[in-house]
Amino acid sequence: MSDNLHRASREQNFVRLLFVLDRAGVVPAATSPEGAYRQMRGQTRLQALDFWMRNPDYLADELISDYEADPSRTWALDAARGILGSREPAIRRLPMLKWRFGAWEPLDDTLAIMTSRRLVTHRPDAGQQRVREHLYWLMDAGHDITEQLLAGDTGVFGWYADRADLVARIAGDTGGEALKHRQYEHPEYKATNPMKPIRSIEGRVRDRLEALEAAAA
Amino acid sequence: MTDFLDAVTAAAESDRAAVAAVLDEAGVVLAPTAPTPHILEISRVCFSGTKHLEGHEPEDFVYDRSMGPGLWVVASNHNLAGKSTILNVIRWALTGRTGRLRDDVRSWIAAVTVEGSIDDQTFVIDFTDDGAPRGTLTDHGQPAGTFSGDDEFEALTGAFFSDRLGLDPTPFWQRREGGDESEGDARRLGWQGYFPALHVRSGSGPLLGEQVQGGQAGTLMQVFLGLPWALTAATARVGRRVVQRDLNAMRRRARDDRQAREAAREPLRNQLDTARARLAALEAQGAAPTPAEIDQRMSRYNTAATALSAVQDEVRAARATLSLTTDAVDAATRRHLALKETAVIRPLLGRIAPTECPRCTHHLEDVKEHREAEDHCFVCDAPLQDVVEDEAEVAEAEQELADAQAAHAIATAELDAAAAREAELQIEHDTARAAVAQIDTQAPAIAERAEVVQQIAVAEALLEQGTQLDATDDAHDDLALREKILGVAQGEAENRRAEAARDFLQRLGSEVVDLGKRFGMPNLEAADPKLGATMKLTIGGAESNFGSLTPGEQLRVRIATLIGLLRIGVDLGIGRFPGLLLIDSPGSEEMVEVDAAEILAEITAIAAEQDHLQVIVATARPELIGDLAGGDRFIGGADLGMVF
Repeated sequence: MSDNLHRASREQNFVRLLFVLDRAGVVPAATSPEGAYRQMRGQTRLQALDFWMRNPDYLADELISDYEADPSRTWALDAARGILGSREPAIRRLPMLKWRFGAWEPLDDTLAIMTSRRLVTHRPDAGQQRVREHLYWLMDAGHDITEQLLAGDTGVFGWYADRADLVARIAGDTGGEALKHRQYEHPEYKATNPMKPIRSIEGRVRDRLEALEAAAA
Repeated sequence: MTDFLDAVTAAAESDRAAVAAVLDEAGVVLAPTAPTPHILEISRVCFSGTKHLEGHEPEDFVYDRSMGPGLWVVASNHNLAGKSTILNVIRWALTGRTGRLRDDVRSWIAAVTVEGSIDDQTFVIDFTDDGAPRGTLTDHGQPAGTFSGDDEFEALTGAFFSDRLGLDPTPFWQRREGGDESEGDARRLGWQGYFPALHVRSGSGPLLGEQVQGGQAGTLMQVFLGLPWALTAATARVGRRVVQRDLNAMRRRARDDRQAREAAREPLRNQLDTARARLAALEAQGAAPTPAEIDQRMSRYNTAATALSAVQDEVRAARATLSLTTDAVDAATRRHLALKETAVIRPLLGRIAPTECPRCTHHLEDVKEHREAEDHCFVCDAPLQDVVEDEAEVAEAEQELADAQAAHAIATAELDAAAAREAELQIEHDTARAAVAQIDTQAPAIAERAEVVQQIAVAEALLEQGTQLDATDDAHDDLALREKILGVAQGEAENRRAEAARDFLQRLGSEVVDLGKRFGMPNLEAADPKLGATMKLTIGGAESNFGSLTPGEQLRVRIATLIGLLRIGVDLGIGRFPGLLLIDSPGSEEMVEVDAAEILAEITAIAAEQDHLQVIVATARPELIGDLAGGDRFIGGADLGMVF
């Protein structure tokens, strides 16, 4: 497994974040703008969710942990198997740079694409103490695009929808910081030097799944 | 006449050098021998002693007579007057054997001197006797030896006369007592064996000589004759007997050896069977791999290990290649996905005109109308990528992906194939290694097997050896060939001798008939003498052997034969009689006067015929000789009384 430094195109970043907002966002609050379809609180959360979209190995590991915590959640194990059983970790991995205590990936350009077309809206969260926290809304127009994309060649964008659903499910309603923390706790993540791509945990996750399968056999 | 050696070589179908070697070794003379007679003559007989007769006083006596060639007569009217004694004393002095000399007469004699000559060279034998003779031999005036005792006497006289008379070193075959024809020894006729031929006595016995034993009579014939080829035939005959004896002995030994080997073979065969059974059992159990099998296992293991190692390298390489192709497929997939996704999103985004400034979110109401042409960005007027270009890139990426996947498929297939081979070779390797490991556990059985194989090899080798020995033993080619060659030589020599003898024997036969008739056998019609000194006679139409004649007839025939031999031998130039003839009592037996007279007349005649002949006759019928001899030839007692 190569530590590929593949960069996504603007368009790919756009479509990925679009589906994250679309599937992991919550029903907008009453105070949301007109035409808002979903809302999401904080860039941290957005980034954490995007991290799982961009790091299938970390996602698979999370799924396995979820299953181990509650073996009735067989969907988690199945999902982990699905990810590790395909080339997804190699194909879909988009490493992020580490900055201090988290993944650092400027979303500004991507958000600008969305906001300039009024597909996404955001404003500072008035209810918070820290100014940095924003509220993001996916507008109906943005949601329409997801439907439009899925209606087309489903083989192309179906992955984004499925993955965003999975990420939403595994995240639940855990806060952004907590999510980031969960990700950061991986030794490989921690050990990565600043401004370096966060290292893959694919090997370890595969071993973990193998052990689980062996124990189950 | 062809060369004898060539004739034998041809008949034996051999080669000349080989035949010459065989005959030479046996001492066979290759040329006809011509007789060289040596003349023995007695010139004086002298003996003295003391007579002891029962009822008489001991009486000293001396007998001393000289003589020369021609006929000499010892005559007396009395029996037991000592006539024979003279002859016997001559014999005793010349041979060292008393022969027919009576023991009592011998005991009377105290001293003897006999003088004579051989080919005009004088000799004197002088001895005293008191139970054991002691004396000297003087040859041509020089002392030639002394003797003390019978053995020395015999040895000295035997050597002297054999040598001086040039007696043939003629061998004859003495059959061993109780043995078969081939068991015997080669004997040479000594002087002591010769002499009886010169001493004719009455009484039954062989035609010539005194002993009947194998061939001696025939050999004595050679005293009188030097038949050409006689010596050759005799030496070949005896040589052949020797070889036959040795050949039979060897064959007997070989037969014994073969029997011994056969006896030994039985237990050896049993050993072999046991060992073979053991080997079969071991092999049936599969308990002991053979050395060849062990080698095979080791070699199989080595091959498997090497092959496994090689295929494992292949698998590693295939994996590496597969990994590379996987990476390539991943890269192509990523690119393809990116291009495809981007190709859809870009125009889609392009169709949505921004309504806010991307930076400050200020509403863009009065944005310029976007141009109809969609090949420039209506915000910044930069040229937009053509959909066609996008699609072209996507198509290219698709192709690259397909190529990468194809390469990946190939690499996968190769890895699978290599892995499959590895699995097979692993099995082969593990099996081979197990087979090798097994050898350790089978070590005792392997050792046992090796030992049994060794036993089998040894037993087989010994049996084979025995078989080969059996085959070679029967050869004796060398001896058999020699026997054959000697047989051929004997036959050839006998043929040649027989030819020479034919004429002689014919004439002898006539002479014997002639004389026999005159000696008082009117019915003697034919005589058929053989060289073996046997004679068939036809008397009154009936055939008989010499041996079946009466003693009287035998004496007549014997004398007739002797005279015939002497006469015809001289006539034909093959005579070799030494000249001395002692005839004892020719007129005894049932002799008619006329017969005796005839005999004595004939004896007288032959003595006169042949210069060198010296005949000493002892007779009780001196009147029959009468004037024939002449007065001074009587060397008997005075007045025809006691001789001594």
